Amino acid sequence: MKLKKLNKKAAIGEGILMIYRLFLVAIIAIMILGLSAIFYDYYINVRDVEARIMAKQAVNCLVPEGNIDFNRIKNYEQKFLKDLCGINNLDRFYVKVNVSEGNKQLILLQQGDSGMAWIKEIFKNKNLASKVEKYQPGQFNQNYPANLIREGKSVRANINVEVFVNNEL
Amino acid sequence: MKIQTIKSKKGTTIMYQVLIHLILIALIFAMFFLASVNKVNSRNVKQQVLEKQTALLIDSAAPGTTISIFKNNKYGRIDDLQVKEGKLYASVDGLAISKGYPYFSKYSVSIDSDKDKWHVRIK
Repeated sequence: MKLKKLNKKAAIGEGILMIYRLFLVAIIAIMILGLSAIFYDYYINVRDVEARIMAKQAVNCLVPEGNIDFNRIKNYEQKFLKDLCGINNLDRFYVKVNVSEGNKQLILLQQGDSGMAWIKEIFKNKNLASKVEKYQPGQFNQNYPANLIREGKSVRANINVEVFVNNEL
Repeated sequence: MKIQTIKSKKGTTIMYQVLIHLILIALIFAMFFLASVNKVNSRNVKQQVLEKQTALLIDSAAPGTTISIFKNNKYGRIDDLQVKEGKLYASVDGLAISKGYPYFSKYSVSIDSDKDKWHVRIK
């Protein structure tokens, strides 16, 4: 009777020990898997390319054949990409188009969250950038010469297009 | 005689316990190994490349363009390719469909397929 009781106790103890061992093995396996996931995880950043494509789309829309019509764009200082160019899915973008004649700014069009420019500035800190590189916004900045048509006159103008693309994560 | 029987029973019980133990450990490691293989064979990187390349092609394409992608190409076998709510989703070599990659084309994008190609149509 006593021996039976002892055997039962031993079996329970053995069972608990087995669960404990399996738990340890599982923890070790998960740790190795976690480490391999970190080392083998690879992120491809194409935001700079997206910024370049967006700049091209904006310029093609605002400056068809190298001519920019002031009357056509003057009422679209905000949301020009959506309302004038019909581009959707702009949640990740900040686009700024500055039309100037010499040093004189004629019109500034912008759409999106301008805070992205500030985030991009933070990423200039190389120590920080290496740690959170995959969140770095994409950027493209380019000047284009164009003819500005205003009140029937054509003047030589400069268009500066700056695009920031936020991460999609 | 009785002692021998008890000893033999005990030995058998221990053997079963060890066997169950080994089987469970083997199962845990098999699961772990399968999960590691998924990471190491870079299917997810290939999937990422395919999604991003296709999304960039959609963004820069003019209306009327059709992008044809072989179902069996250097990235592996493309099991599924779909566009939904402004995102492109791909499934490569049986890997579960990903979170997708957003595109911003202002044109209508649709995907259809024939026997060995996916066709991304921009209208």
